[in-house]
Amino acid sequence: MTHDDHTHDGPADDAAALAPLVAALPRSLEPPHDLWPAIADRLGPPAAAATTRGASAFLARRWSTAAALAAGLALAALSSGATAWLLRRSEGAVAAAPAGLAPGEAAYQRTAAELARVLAARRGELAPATAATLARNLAIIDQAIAESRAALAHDPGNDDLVALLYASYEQKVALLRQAIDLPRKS
Amino acid sequence: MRSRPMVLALALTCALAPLGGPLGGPLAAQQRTAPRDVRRVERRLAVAPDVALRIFNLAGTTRVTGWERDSVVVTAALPRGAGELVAGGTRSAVKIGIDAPGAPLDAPGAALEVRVPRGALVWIKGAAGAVDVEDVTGALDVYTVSGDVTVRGAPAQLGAESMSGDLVVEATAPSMRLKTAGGAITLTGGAESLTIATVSGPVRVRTGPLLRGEIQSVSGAVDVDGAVRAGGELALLTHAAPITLTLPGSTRAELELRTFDGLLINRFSPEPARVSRGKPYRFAIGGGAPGPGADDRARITVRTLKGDIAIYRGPGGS
Repeated sequence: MTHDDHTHDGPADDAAALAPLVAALPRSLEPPHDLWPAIADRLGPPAAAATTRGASAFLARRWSTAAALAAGLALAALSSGATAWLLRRSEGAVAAAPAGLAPGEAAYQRTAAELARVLAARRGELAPATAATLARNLAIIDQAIAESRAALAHDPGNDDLVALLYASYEQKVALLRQAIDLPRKS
Repeated sequence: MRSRPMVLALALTCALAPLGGPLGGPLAAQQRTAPRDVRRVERRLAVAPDVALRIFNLAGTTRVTGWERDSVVVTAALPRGAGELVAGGTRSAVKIGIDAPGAPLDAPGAALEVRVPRGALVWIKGAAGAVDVEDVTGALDVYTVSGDVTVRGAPAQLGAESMSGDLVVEATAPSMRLKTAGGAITLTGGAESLTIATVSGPVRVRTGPLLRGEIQSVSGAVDVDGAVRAGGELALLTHAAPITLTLPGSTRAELELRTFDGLLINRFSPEPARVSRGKPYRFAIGGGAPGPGADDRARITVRTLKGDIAIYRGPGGS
């Protein structure tokens, strides 16, 4: 038998095959400290149909399954993004990112898109003034993301620019989560 | 027809009820009608000194004050249509709020005043109305949408969050987390661990020595006047807003400042103002170049894409 045979010779070969995959795994995934309570809250029993403003509606409301999914994605995005950045800083080894995107940026984008979808379903529940505040601040963040990305295009690999970009994404994800969690008609 | 003793007893009870002590019973309630269709409702509950309180008042204002008694006293001023006061629980956990099912958006809000044991753990959810908290030494969390939040005292830890309301904190706490989207954040006090995040609200911090501080803003100006402990860390980050940092003259720290498209001004050390042009500007203060003892220095990082950075020397030591 040669090394070119596509057969398994035993545990040693399996380990050899797994080694690069294991090496590529992040060393740790540290969830943000304040995310779990929101997720735990969402794991509560489903809410009765909330059609009224006020405390009873607020107390009865629970996170939707979609919101729970979004929280999970947020956790994954924040963790993977931070880990990718830290690994990159410490080892100089970066997993290949999609063209034009910083490492981990795609995960942030997916998370933000999912949260925005959940929020869109609730948009009619927000007071007009709150919706306007939300839109204004999301626009500020989106402009910041665009400007950070443009700066990164001129100076790829600049750690401080990546940190600025991720900070804006984290603000966006946090703001969307905050908006989803608002009481009805507030 | 009632007998005379019964009428006298009833009258005496009504007269003394407002003066009743907090330990008069686990659930003593009084209600009286005030003029102009505003009802005042009061509840009194005997509780443990470290009771956990969940308070909600979405449309009206909420004021929470810590006191030395092991009791909770709730007073609600309820305009017509504002809903009903709900208050109940056990000695260790109490839920208080204004229940207004079906109330229209423009319904009047209730004014809620709550006295709690100082050591209570307090969680408050508001929306449009202001929330004021004073003299609570237990852990405190406050959330509003557009209502301003004011906290005074020394909570064991503090979390305050609002979408567009302003946060005004005149307090000290080992751990503090303040967050807004558009609201201004003003902190006067101190925290060992401080986290502040805002999208567009201005941030103004006047604080005692920090062990760990992280302040982030997208477009809100950041102005910090405070000390960083030996070995502590402070990170300031904005996207497009100016950052002003004033440190005590005795500060020992290693600083790394970086603005990509702004002006960098160093008024702490004798070096002239300079433009970083995207390059990190590193220097040590209060002890010369890195070497023995460098580990004791605080580490201060300031980053912004488009904002100006200004470092000033303040009076005194840390």
